[in-house]
Amino acid sequence: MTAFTASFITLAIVGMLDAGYLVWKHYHNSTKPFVCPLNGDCSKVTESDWSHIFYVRNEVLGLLFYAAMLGAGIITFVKQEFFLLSFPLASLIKLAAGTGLLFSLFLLWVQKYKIENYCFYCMLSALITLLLFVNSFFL
Amino acid sequence: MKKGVVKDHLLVSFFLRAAIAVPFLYAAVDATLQPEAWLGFMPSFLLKLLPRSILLLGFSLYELGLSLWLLSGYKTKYASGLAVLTLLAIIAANISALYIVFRDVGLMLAALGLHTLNHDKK
Repeated sequence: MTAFTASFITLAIVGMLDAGYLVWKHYHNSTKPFVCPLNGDCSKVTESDWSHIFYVRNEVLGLLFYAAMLGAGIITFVKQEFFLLSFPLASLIKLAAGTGLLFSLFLLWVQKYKIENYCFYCMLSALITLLLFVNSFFL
Repeated sequence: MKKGVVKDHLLVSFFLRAAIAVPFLYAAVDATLQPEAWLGFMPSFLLKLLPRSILLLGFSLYELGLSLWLLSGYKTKYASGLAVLTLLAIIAANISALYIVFRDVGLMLAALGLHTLNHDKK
């Protein structure tokens, strides 16, 4: 099971890098265009009316989500090693990853039907969230 | 280069960087979580030179740094070159376990491909 904990932590780190890049791009490097390998205009998506939810930017939410998943992965490993925690952590992780996946699917729908443009890094984030969700069943 | 070709180049470069960086990142995380499973892959002369925990932690940090460098896309020519050398060293040190490290041959060739793709960049 430790191998799946390692893959969960790895995915969370990659997700943090992806979301972190979008946060950095928005707050520190917003004048330069995104390097989008998919021929899309990422800024049309990241700077659209759909870029916030409850006054918080989506990439910031993503960064917090992946940081929480990283923390959960580390706690899972510590729990396996020392049996310190007794609450149903695995169920909480599945619930959080499932919620993240649903939000990612919603954002994909928004990109396709509302903005009519795609952001490569947002799609990558959706893929990572899907993998985290599947991985959460093997923790 | 035509616009479409440039975009294809970016996409290929991104997937190659991710393909090489993610296994390095996974190895760094897993070696931190269960070091005993990775000690066998360390060359015996290094195990005699340094304490095992320091050796594994140092190599994990190196792998983490290399994977972040690859993912960043900064000076990919050099990052991929270093990945080729690292994988070559891993294969050479564990050639007796070729049934395990044969995958690293594929990774090394992918890193070589990435290096070739970026060889004319500064």
